[in-house]
Amino acid sequence: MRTRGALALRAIAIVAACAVSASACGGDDADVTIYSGRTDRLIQPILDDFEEASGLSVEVKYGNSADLALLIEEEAASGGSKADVFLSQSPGSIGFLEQNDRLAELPAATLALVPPSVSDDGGKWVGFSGRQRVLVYNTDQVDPADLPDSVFALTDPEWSGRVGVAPSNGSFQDFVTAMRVTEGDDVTAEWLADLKTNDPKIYANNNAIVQAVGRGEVEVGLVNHYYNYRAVAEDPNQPSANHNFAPDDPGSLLIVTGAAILATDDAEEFAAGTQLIDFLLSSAGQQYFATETFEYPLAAGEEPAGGVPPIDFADVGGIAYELLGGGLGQTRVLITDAGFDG
Amino acid sequence: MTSGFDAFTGAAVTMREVSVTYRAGGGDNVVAVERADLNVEPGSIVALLGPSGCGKTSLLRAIAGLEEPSSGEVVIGGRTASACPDPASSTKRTWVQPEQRDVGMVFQDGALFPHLSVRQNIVFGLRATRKKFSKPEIAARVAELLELVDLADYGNRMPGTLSGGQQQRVALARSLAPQPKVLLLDEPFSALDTALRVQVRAEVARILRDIGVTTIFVTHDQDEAFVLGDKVAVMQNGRIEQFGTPDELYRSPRTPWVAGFVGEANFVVGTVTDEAAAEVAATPIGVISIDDHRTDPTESQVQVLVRPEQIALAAWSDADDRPVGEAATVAAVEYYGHDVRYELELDDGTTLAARTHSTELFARGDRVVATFQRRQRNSQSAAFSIGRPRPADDR
Amino acid sequence: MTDAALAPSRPRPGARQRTTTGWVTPSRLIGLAIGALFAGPAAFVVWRTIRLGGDLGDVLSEVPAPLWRTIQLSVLVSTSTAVLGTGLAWLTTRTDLPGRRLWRIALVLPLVLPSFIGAAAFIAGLAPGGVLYDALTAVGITPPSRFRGLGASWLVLTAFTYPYVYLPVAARLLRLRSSLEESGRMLGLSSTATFFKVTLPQLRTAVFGGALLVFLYTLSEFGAVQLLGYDTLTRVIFASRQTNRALSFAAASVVLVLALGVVALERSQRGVSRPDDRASMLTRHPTHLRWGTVPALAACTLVLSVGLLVPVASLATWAQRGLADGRVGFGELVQPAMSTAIVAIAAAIAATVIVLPIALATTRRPHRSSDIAAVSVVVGFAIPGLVLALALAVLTLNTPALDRLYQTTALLILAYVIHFGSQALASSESAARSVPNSLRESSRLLEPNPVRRFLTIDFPLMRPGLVAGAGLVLLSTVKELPATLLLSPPDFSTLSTEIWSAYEEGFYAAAGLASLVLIGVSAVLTWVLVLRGSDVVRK
Repeated sequence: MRTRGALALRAIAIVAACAVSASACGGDDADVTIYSGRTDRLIQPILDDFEEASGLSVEVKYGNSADLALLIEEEAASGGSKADVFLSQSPGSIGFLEQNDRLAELPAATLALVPPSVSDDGGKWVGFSGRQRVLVYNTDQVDPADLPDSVFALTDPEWSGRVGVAPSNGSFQDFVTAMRVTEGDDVTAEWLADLKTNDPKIYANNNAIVQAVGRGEVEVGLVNHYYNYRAVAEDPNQPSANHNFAPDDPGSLLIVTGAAILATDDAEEFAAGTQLIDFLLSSAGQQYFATETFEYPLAAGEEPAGGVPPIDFADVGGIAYELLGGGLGQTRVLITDAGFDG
Repeated sequence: MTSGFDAFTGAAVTMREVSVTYRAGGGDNVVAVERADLNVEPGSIVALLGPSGCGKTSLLRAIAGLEEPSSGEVVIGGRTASACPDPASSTKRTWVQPEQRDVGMVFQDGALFPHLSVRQNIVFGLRATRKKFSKPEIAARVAELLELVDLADYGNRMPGTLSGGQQQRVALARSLAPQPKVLLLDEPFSALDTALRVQVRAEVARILRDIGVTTIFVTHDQDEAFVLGDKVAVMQNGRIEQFGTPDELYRSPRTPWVAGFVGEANFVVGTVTDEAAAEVAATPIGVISIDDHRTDPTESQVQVLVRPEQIALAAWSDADDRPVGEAATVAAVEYYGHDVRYELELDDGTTLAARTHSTELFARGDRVVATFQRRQRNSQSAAFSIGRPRPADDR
Repeated sequence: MTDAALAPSRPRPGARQRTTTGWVTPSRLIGLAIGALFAGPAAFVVWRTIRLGGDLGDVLSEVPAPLWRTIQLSVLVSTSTAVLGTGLAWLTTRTDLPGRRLWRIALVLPLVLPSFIGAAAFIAGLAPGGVLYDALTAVGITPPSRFRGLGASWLVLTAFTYPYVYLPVAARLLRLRSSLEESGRMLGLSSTATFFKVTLPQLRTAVFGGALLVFLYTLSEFGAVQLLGYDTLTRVIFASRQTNRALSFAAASVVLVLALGVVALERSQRGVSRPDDRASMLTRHPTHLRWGTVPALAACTLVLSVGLLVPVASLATWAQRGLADGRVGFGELVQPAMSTAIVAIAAAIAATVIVLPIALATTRRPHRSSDIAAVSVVVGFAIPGLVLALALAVLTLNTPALDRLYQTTALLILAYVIHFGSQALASSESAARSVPNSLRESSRLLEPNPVRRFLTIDFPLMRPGLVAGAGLVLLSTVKELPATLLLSPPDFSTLSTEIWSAYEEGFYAAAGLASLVLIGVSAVLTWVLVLRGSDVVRK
């Protein structure tokens, strides 16, 4: 018995040592290295399609957008990022890298694939899918006719205790930043303070809000549009639905998932990265986002999936997305000043 | 020295038909003690003696209340401490918790509380007892006890800094602090090295006799049992084989096993004949007056217990006036100074052990004559049926 | 009769041995080097804090309130786990609780649950439609509509972490020599009084060690408290890590200082534990619970429900929906499961080996250097995984010699070793102590080569303790998330990262299935490595 255990231990040790030594050489042999803040279920299939179609090999590191941005920053500061392409769920993280001059300028042809309102004025990043802020509501508890057209109405006394928000969540913070841009800091600060006094229910993230609305724990919540579609796909009996604010209201902000190429001297890497982004913006890529994840395709001429209300990007315009990147710090300050935990 | 202990009288301990069984790992029932009867007089010191596994510790723990007897009765100081009646009878079970029996116990490893100082250890028992003591009383008693065990300046030391002997003495002081009626000691000296052991046990004996507490202690060392105990209970396989004074055990053991366990024993085969006043057995080394312990009275052959000091040796000579006895060759000589022990090989191959004070010394290879020589007038030697087991047979 | 002339038979425990070779010895250098390895990330954090400068006003306004909340939660959880763990250990080793051998195994199992998914699942279970919600309403109790804040965090974390106290205390109770407690009884104490006055002081080292681990764990915990809406210092680190890096590092430094203080305090208070190798006779005489049996069973069931049963039931409901639809399958979990197993095993072995010299040093040649090394090993447990990973990333990126290590599984394993080495340390220390001095001394005369001596004498005797320590490291590694996400090479995923990515996007069925697979793997590993060979199950 003892020798058997010892043998097993030795065998395990050998296997482990082999595995470790094999992987210890972290080779940079893939053609395109992507750091993706978008989780693998939501993008790996289209990346696999790209590999097949282009013949280029792809390796992906998945993680949290903000953490990945930090990592890229540290890598770049010490001599060059290991990533070729950065896909971020939030413009905030891309903005962070842009501020530190880590991004390369994209080719004009790539930038032309989408409306100008969803790409960087300086050409440093381009959006490839869109997520809209909506109000999800419990269909059993709320009559859609009572739902407001503007997010500002949520601070009215009639909505006291009935609204769910996730102030620490990236998309909420992006939305508040956009509000600061269009409405100004003072109005935004006032809205936040009023919201806080209106007894909102606080959740960790969009998912939690949608779950809570589905359970009836809270009646409405500020979330991204696609969460409800996915929740209903998991549980068709869930009594929740989306409600859109008026197109020009800050509440209906369209948040883009952005792609950027890290500044590099290597022309091959740059070309490969461009190829990838072009593929994401191609019809195949855009339809993947539309049908598999219920997001808005941003390339010109692409239609969203059935059941998802179309939006005219011209209506949404006017928000300088680059400001979303840099303004996150100040946004957090406003949020915490209002009494939320940012 | 005994000023604080005037009112310290020991209690009698009686055990009737006590059995202790417990369930071992495989689910079998192990009988540790089988129907033991014991009567300990107040103030006396009794030793429970036997080889390891004989049940002596279980018996001691049954008195303490740390083991629950499966049958029988334990009475301490007139109060029934535990009684386990027959399933048939309607009387209820009696059980007094160990902490309420007024019994003190010293364990083999001392068991001093490592997180308390010597003084705190001793005081521990005082505060815990039902008897109320005032603070000055407690301090005085502690000082007295430390004085008693000759550790007067050690009050503030931690147990980990004491030697084994010192720890045992503190353990003794601690157990005596609440003035128990009975004191139990579980192989208290076995953890000490030999030189220390003799010293410590002499001291302990003195203390216990001065105080007068009834003491029952467990040991596997025959010397210890005989030196300390007023009476000794010899145990084997859970049974008390014999209970008596050391002298009774030595001279009149009831079985060959007891005979061999309490001292070195030769068993000489002889034939029983009746002579005028008493029974005798004719053996090669002489005619011996016997104390008949035969199981079957009709048997003619017996083995007679002959202690080594009951064998006299004389040099072999071919002359006709040589002493009557068995011829033997000296196989080994052990010289102890005050006496000499010889191992003799008889002509038929059996061995005898002999101890003599004789000034005549023999050497290996000498031919001698071994003769029985009784030490006291009118004493008898125990004779047993052949085939009864002896300690040597256990191995 | 005086004993003055008789010297004590063995040196006092804890006595410092005088060495004749001077202060610098190979073993001390090794100890310090290992300590430096563990302290590296912490040093980096402090250095970065200083370098980034930052606004003191910022720190003073943002840090005190979360710091106070962190301290509150940590103190509460470590106290409650100390009480709960000790109580459960006593119940399952010293009483006649029905099915106690099964309970001894079951009560360890909450360790297998990653805290963030466990908390999420528990919340789901308590919400309308959840397992616990239905059970409570069936009995007539109204479940709380809001389950968040200090109370909720306290409850959930206690239920998930009490095994850190339970395991060492139960093991110690089973090996405690019975003569101490029997002496207490003979001196007049009732069984209850004996437990508090005699037994409990003997358990002190075990309880303190376990409670310390719980404290440090709560300090660095993030996922569960975030879900439960309780704002601690880790949230400050997390939220400001991109926008206000100076504040983020400052908060991390505060966590480290707090951890250091608590570790140093524990080492000074823990007392000395003596090995007991006599079989305890008390297992033959368990305390009879009588009327207390039902409440005791209820308590055990309650604890296990919160810590294991309700979360697992919720996860099963999630997974089952997906399995029925065919949306999820086991196939996609095979690769992550294998990756998880390989790195976890490698980390467990590496941690045990690396920590072993320190364990040997602190038990056999106590010296300030070994104490310092031990403290730095333990503090590694308090560093939030995110901070640790970032520190290691930066260190390797900016040191030319170490550049090759960046984004390799080797670096990831190193992160695990630093983060969880403390769990191997406690077991290794007690394993080292269990080798009798007499055996070691006689072996010195027979085998002059120290390495061979160690391999043939010490190691076989220490093996059970070392394996148990490795098992604990393995368990923690399997559950780890933030460091794994940050440091893993591209195309590398573990069960933990799979759970996270599924949960983030609301794919509950996938998250549930991956969680169940992780729990299954952990449970098997717990059995094989931690429980099977330990006293806790054998007796």
